[in-house]
Amino acid sequence: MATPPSAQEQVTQLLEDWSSGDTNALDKLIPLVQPELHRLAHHYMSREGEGHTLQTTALVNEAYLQFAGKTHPRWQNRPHFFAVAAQLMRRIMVDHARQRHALKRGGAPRKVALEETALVTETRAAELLALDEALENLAAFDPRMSKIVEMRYFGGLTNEEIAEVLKMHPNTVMRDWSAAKAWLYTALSGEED
Amino acid sequence: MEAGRWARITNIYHAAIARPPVERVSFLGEECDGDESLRKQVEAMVRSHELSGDFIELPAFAVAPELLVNEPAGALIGRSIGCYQVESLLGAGGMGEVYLARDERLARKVALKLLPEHLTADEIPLSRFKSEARAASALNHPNILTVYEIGADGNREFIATEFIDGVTLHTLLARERMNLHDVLEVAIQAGSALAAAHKAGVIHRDIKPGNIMLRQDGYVKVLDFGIAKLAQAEPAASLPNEQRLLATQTNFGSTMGTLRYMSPEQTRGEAVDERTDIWSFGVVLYEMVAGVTPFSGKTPEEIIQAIQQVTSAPAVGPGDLVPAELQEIISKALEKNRERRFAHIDEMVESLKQLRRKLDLPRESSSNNWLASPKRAAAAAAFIVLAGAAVVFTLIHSHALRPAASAPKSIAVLPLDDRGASESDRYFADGIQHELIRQLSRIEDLKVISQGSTQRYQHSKRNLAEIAKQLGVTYLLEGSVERIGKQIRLETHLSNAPTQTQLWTATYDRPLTDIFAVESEITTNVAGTLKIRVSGDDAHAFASTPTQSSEAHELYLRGHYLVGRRDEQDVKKAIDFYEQAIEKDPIYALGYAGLAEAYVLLAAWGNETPIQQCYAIAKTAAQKSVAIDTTLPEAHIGLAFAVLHQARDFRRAREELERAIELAPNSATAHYYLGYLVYAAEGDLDHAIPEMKRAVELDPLSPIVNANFGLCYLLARRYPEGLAQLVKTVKSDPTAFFVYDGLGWALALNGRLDEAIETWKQGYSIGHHYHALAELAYGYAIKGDREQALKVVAQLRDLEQHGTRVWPLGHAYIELALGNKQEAIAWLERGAAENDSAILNYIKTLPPLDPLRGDPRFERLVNEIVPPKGGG
Repeated sequence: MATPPSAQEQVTQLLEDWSSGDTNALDKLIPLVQPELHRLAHHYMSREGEGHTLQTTALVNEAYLQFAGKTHPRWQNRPHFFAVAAQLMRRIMVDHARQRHALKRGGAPRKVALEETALVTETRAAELLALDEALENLAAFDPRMSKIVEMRYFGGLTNEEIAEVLKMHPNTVMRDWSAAKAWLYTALSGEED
Repeated sequence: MEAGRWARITNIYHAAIARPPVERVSFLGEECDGDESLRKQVEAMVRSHELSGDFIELPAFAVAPELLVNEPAGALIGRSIGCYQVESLLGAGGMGEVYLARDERLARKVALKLLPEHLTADEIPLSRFKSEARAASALNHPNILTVYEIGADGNREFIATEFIDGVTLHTLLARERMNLHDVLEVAIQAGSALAAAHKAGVIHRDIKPGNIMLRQDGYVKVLDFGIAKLAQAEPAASLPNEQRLLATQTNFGSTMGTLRYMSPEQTRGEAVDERTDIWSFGVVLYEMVAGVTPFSGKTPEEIIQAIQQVTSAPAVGPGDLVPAELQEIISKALEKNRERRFAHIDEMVESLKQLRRKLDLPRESSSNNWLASPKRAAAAAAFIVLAGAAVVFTLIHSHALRPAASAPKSIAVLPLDDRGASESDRYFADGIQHELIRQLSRIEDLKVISQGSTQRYQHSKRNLAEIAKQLGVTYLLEGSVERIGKQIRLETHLSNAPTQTQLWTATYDRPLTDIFAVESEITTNVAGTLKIRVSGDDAHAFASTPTQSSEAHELYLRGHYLVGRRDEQDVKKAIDFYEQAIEKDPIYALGYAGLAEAYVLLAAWGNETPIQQCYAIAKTAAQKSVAIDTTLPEAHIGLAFAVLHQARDFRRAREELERAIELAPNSATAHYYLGYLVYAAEGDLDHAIPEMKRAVELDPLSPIVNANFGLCYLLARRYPEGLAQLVKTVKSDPTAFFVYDGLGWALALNGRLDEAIETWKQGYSIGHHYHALAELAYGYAIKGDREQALKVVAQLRDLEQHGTRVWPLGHAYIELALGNKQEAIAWLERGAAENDSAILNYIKTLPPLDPLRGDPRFERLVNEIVPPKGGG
């Protein structure tokens, strides 16, 4: 059978490669998954403004179902997929935040703004970049804690799901999360020494 | 940080936050044991723990999903897209970014909307969106945003539209409450846009305040027709049911805000139609009045539940002064079951207009300064025109001008006295009367009687109060005209007939070439005296000159006069005049419209020219007329008739007639055709009867309109009402022989067959016409008198031998009454093949054909002639 693998098959293979330690797989994954994440993000935007009580993991859930759940029986490990997705999401969002931030500094001034969306977005972009940096710093002395934040904040995983991926007790995840959150908040409010 | 130290920090942190806050400081002092740096670090984290609240608790994509979107907003400033130079960002939302750009070729500002790439990836929805957006824009409606171009630059699809200097209704509502005057103004303008779009088959699907723009000069513009269609991508099949619906409907970027304007059927994922827009428009109307939307909730699910199940609370406006009528309009638009909403948006707009007329609201100075109605400005300009003219006019009894509270004003223009002109010059006075009626008929807030119904008041001693009563009007315009060489003298009087007060009178002494200006002045003065709103479009139409050639105009008037006599030879002479008129002025739209009407009449009751040829010429002439002047109601009427009879294009005919009615709400012909030739033929008698009723009001003395109104009742199986109407019609004009045809049917269908036969005989004795014979044959046949029936059929054959056009429908029902079912169907098939107009009009509903209903061969034919559901 010489037919080229479908996009979904490719994604599944790359996810497996990545989970078995092939770090290059992630770079190949991003361009394949990105359009779907964009689509889902738009979907999310459609619910913006009404609070965010809709399932917070829906986005990654959908991505999971789209790429893994249906096509590949071996990829039934949802949390594992979520961990990968979280990393992808972080990469993509930070890239965009960086572009936007650059634009804010260098771009032409706006004459009219009908919606405040753009302004809010730039604030968020700056915050996100700062958070990413702080997370990097955290990873330097506590990679596990940094990972937990990544999975929860960028991947939308629950503590239980994170516990499953990292093979930890959910209570430990909760403990780590609490400390990481406090540390990050401190770091971002400039109160750290 | 060293791992051991970090472990210590976290341990102390966890222990500290496990204690009550008051104990924490002393606890930290003990635990850190003089390590000031450690104590500070932990203390900062504990404080952060207390302060951080929901910091990073929600996932990033939920907080800032826009950061996942392809291109950052504003990224294109300074670049070129197509031939547009992007200048600044106007706004950004889920449906893409909108930039202010400059069209380099035309040096004009445009709004450039870039569509998100993922929405344009799929070719089919993209092309559907394009065709809808173009269709809406092509309507060239003043309240629909004009689309200049839908194009692509690389992979990037964009729409360039007119740039609106104004705010969205969304912005306005966020800023302030609206007064009732502005609410109605915005609603009527936006509703008119929707009405026009619906007529063109375009459903908006996403009506919300963000899609309604308020221009500085008072114009309201509806945006983004068709865009919602683009966003109807496939929902992920894997989603649970409820979420799938959400995904389908709220897809992409249409913000959560959109959900609040969504109809119950949309939330259930059902097909949309014009009533879907009516719902959303109702929500917008509610919000304008009340300041909040009627259906809300904290989550999409809650909102959907409210939309589907909760009855909205009455809209409460500022000061609680919301008229009951407005509440009713809103409630009717917000009926959960769309069958119970307004069937068409123009009904809703009409109700809003009626309310506005009734309230007669003063323009309050609103703080936003958004209003300086351009239409009223145009009307005012039209009134100023008269100032320079050599007009002697006096305004009498100005105190009598206060309008009656709510009844619509009504007027009849009586035939002008032509001061002893010879019969051959009658056409001139007739033409001026015709033109005055044509102009006044455009005014929506005024009922104007058709020329046909005024003709019996020619040369007669006039009792104005009695005439007004017979015509059902309050005001009468009469006058006289005299031609002296190249000069005319025209006198006019406007009076209130019931009170016998003269309201306005004027005398014009002008060169003949000024006739159009004089007519326009009279119309404008009448409207002004009666204090009637004249829209900008109407004022424009009054002021325009139909032709520059006075010769062409003369020829047209002669043609028009002859057409009014409704005789085959006269119509043929009229055609000659119209053709000459067009020769003199090849862009004389009214001339072409007249030609179209004449050929339509020739097809209807001429014997000599083949029907198909008549329709073909009528259609070409009507198309030319529309092409020259799209605002001419006569042109649309002619086109409607031609497309209906030539191509059985019901949908197109309906659209053309609706357009004609929009242009001239008082056109009895347009209402009559729409009711009788379109709705009745389609079997939609619920719509046919009100249209016919309106036609009768506007042309109350027309025997044909009255008779066919009665026939509509018969087609609707409302036999007693049909009989009553036809009896009334015969009494009103016993010389109109064709009315006996209808009366005979009414009697027959009410079970009075002998009287029916007598009535048909009576009709034949007056008119000696073929149709009465066919009916008589039917009467005998159904009675069982086969011998008599066949005798009459032989008479019919004889007439046909001598040139009378064969009438397949008549033969069909006679054969049927004689028990020859297959022959009857064969006759109908033959008529259908010849595009016989009577078969087109009656096959679906005519009671004598009932024995055939259910027969497969017959039903096939019916479906072929009148497509189900009135399609084209």
